[in-house]
Order: sequence, then structure tokens, then C-alpha cells
Amino acid sequence: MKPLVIGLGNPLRGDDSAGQRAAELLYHCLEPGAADVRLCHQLTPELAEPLSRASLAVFVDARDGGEPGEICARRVESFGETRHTHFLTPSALLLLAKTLYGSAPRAWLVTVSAAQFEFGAALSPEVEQAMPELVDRVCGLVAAEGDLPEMPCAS
Amino acid sequence: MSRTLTIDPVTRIEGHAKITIQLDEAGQVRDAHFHVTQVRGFEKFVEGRPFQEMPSLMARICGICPVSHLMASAKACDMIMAVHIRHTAAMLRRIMNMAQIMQSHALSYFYLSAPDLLLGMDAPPEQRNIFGLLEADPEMARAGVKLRATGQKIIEILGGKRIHPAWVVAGGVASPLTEEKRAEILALLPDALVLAQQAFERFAPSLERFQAEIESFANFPTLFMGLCSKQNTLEFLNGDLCVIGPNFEPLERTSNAEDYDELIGEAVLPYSYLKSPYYKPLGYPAGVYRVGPLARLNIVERPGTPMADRAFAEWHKVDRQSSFHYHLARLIEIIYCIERIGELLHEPDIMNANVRSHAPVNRAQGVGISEAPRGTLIHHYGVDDDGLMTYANLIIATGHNNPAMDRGVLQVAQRFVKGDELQEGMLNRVEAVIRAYDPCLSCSTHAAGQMPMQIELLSAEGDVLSRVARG
Repeated sequence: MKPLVIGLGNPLRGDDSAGQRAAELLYHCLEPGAADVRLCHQLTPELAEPLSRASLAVFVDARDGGEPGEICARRVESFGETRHTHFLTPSALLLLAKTLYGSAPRAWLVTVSAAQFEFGAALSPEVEQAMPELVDRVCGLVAAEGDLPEMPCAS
Repeated sequence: MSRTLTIDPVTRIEGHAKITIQLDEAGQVRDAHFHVTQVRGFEKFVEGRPFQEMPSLMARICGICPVSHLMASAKACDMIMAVHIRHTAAMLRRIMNMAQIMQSHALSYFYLSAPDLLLGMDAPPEQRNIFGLLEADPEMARAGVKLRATGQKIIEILGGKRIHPAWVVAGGVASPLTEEKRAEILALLPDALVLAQQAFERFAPSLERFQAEIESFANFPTLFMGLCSKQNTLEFLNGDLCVIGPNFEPLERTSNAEDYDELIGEAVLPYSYLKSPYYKPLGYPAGVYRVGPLARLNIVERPGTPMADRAFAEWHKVDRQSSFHYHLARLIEIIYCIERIGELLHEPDIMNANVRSHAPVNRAQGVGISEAPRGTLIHHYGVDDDGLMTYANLIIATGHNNPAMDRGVLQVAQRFVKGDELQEGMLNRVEAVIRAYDPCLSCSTHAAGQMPMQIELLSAEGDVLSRVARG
């Protein structure tokens, strides 16, 4: 079993790509093969099976709200009910993994607050500047097997 | 006083649409229509782009079936270059196209329609979703997840990523198959085949429970259109374009993609952005036809692989005019795709490194036809001497089915909707007839069930008499 990092977002909608971009940069601070890294536009039920096999899950995503560039990290529990078929919340996906495959790992959601979600591949200056810290935070969680204090959002 | 019921948006489909049902003074359904309310404009904004960019641009039309647009687009580009692509490249394209059909059919059947089929059309909407399915039948939910994941994985192995892979190009494919990738795909197939067969064996005997839906879900005579092989078996990429009549009699067969213009006319109706194609020799509406799994299985003599051929024996026992049987057809096609992918991966030439042909602009026009999960997909391009796009016409699978969906809404509404006693189950059946076609309205992603379904009762003067919302 190894950690699963899921970088989320649309790479053509500005800061929404931050999650995918961070996941792509993890090689800077993770040994090859240290984690299963996946890039997704959004969470879908097919991720439940690999999630059930992971030792730890870290979801990395852009956040709509807060001061642009602000990084938050919080634990995620499996719960909730959803009627989505095209995307899920991390909590609902964990619940799906536990119900379908009997197991769900400890999980974290690490976010960076976005400045804009406009068309285009470029990040805003605020989010671009926050990327190294975002990547470090994810790597830190993986290295510590999830045993780090939470970083609540200011707002 | 006459009234209008509006179902907006229709849920658990790909894209955005609404349904209106016109009631008469007695509360009986007088008329009903399926409206597509989104417009994308791809045909216009590709003008001026180099034609070689078209496969990648066209894949962006849709996040659910980008591969289908890749295929039709690449074929149109092949014709502009006037090349016959290498045999290996054609086989590799076929494999990816069938993986796409497999994953899309799994999404349609297990995620979108199985909740209705297993939990019942009258179950509360908060249960009619994959989580409701999960509680009622976790084994089936796991099968759906696994089958979809398998199709997506094959696309990812070949194309490098699951969504918008750029591996299919004008003149062939970008890179050959490696032994490692071949082995990886082959290893996925046995489990998937077992799951698909089990799903079919469960669903086929349960059809008698749906007699009312079978009788009224767009159950009327139309023509059918689709590609089929020279041997009259399923062929999703390089077959002849075939049209059969309402009694399944052959009407048309051509191997020349450019003939589509002689066969298909397009009517524009005032209430929808989606055009309404028809078979030209019969005119509109007599020439209304259906495409997709139902049509393809009605056209062929047999699918063409062992297990799918055995499953096909059930096909001739059902009422093949009913659009309810799109569901059964999808399961048979999933079985076929898994078997056929395995056969192609054992072809001696499948590892050949020559998979791409290069040529400049040799023709001013190109037409590419392929079978998308939802039916026949046609891309027609015009270019100037420099290869810049001057014209694009896309006839998408859902478009072909538009007139039949429209007529199907009326039929099912007349059977189930009574204006003086609006109930969730009857409105769900009106939506479910659309879902049977699995329309892809090019395809903004949405959250099924999260969006409100709103039913408005309007007076003849347009005043809202009452409003019911769910979700």
C-alpha cells in the first residue's frame, strides 16, 4: 500500500489547475514511486477502488474563497450522501470506497485559494507564488503519513 | 384551460435539455417536445485553423466521448490528405474507439439508467442514483465502476490520458503499441468480460417487468442507420453506411462517406438548437431514423464475436422497435467490444511500428464517419490550398436521434402523464425515455439529481398556475 495523491481541477480554467499542477510537481520532493499520483478534472466513482487500496489519500484542489494564495489543509472523513454521477466530494468518494471495497484510508484535503477561474492555462500571480508551499505541504503530509496538524482556512 | 408542463433540466443525461408537455382542457397530453437549449458553435470557430489541428480541437467538444470525435475527425483529415492509413493504425484506432464505447455504455447503463431499472421508475429521486444502486445492489455497482474504469484505462494506456488524448492523428496514430501496453490491456479483459456477461444475464430475463415501458418508450416504426462491416457484423469505424427500413429491410448501403450528403437532410425546428436529420429520399418526417446501439443491432446479422453472438440470440426475442431496448443493446455491445479488443490485440500486425502516414493537402474536402457510443458521427470539412479550414459540418449521434426522441417524449407522456395528478414516477418516465437514447448534448458536465427539475403548469396565456421543484 502507498499514499494516493489526487490533483484536481481543469487545466484550462486558470487557478482551477492548481491541484493538477501541484501534483505534477511532486517529483521535486517525493522519491519516485513513493506515492500513486493521479491528475483528474474531478472526482468520479472509478477512483473508489484505487482509493480503497491506498495507505493515505491527499486531495489537492483550488478553493473558491479566501485570500488568493492562502493554503489550507484539513482532514477529510467519509460521510455524506450525494446524487452526483459525474463528480463526487472527497468525503463521498471515501464513503464509496468503504462501502464498495470495504476500506478507505485516512484522507486530507489541501487547498489553495484561487484568484480567478477564467479561460486559460496560466495561474494568477498569487497562486503561482503559493505553488512551492502547496507542493511542500503535500509532500510533508505524504512523508509524515498524514500525521501533521491541520491548517484551517482563515475564512 | 390548456396547460404546459416543463421539465427543465432533464437529469441524468449528458448536457442540458428540457421537455415540455402540452395538456388540453381535459388534462390529457396534447403535444410534447424535447428541446436542446445549449449551443456550442464549434463548426464556426474552427474556421481558419489548420486541418491537422482538427482531431484535437474536435475532441474538446465533449468530455464524455472525446475519442469518438477524434475518430471521425481523423478520418475526415485522412480523406483531405487522400491517404489510406496503415492497417495497424486502423486496428489501434478501433481498439481505442471500442474502449470508448465500452466505458460510455457502462456509464449510461450502470450509473444513469440502472437506478431506474433496479430501484424502479417510481422510487424517490434521492435514491435513483449510483448511491441508491450501491445500497440495493453493491455487486452491480462494483461491476459498473469496474467496466467503466476498464474502458477508461485502455484509452489511457493507448492515448496517455483518459480525457482528450491526442494520440489519434491525421494519417493514423501518433505512436505504435508496445508489448508492455498490449499485455496490460489484455490483462484487463477477462474480468471485464465476466462482469459484462453477468450484467446481460441479469438484465435480459428481467425485461418482462418493463412491459409498459417497452410498449411506450419510443416504440414506433422508424428507419435505422449505422455502420456495418462487409460481413454484416458490427463495425464502429470503417464499415459501410447502412440504412434499413421500419421492417428492417435494407434501403441503402454505401462505402463512400461523401454520400452522406445525398442520404441525410437536416430539418430545423423552432423549439430546439439541435437539427433534426432525416433520410432524404423519404423526406421529413417520413425519413426519421434512429442510430446507436438499437440501430446497429437491428442492422447487423450478428455482432461478430462468440459471446456477443450468443447474447444476440435474445435480441430477436424482443420488440426491436422499442427504444427501451437501447439498454439491452448496450450490454451486448459491451460484450462485443471486450471480445473484439482481445481479438485485435492478437492480430499479427498489431505491434507494427508503421502507424502514421504523412501527406499534404490533396483534396479540398474530407468526410469522416464513425460510430460513437450514441450512434453515427459525421465530420465534414472543407480546406483551402494551405490546409486551413474553410468549412465544418458536424452531425452528431444525438442529432440523428432528435426527431425520434421528440416523438418518443410524446408517446410516453400520453401513456403516463395525467395532468390532474402529477407524480414523480410519471415525470421520471418521460425523462427516462430520453435517457434510453443516452443523449450527449455536447457535453457540459453536470450533477445529476443535484440540479432541480422544475415542472411548471402554465395557462394558455403563459401564466404560471403552479410550480413543482425537486432536487
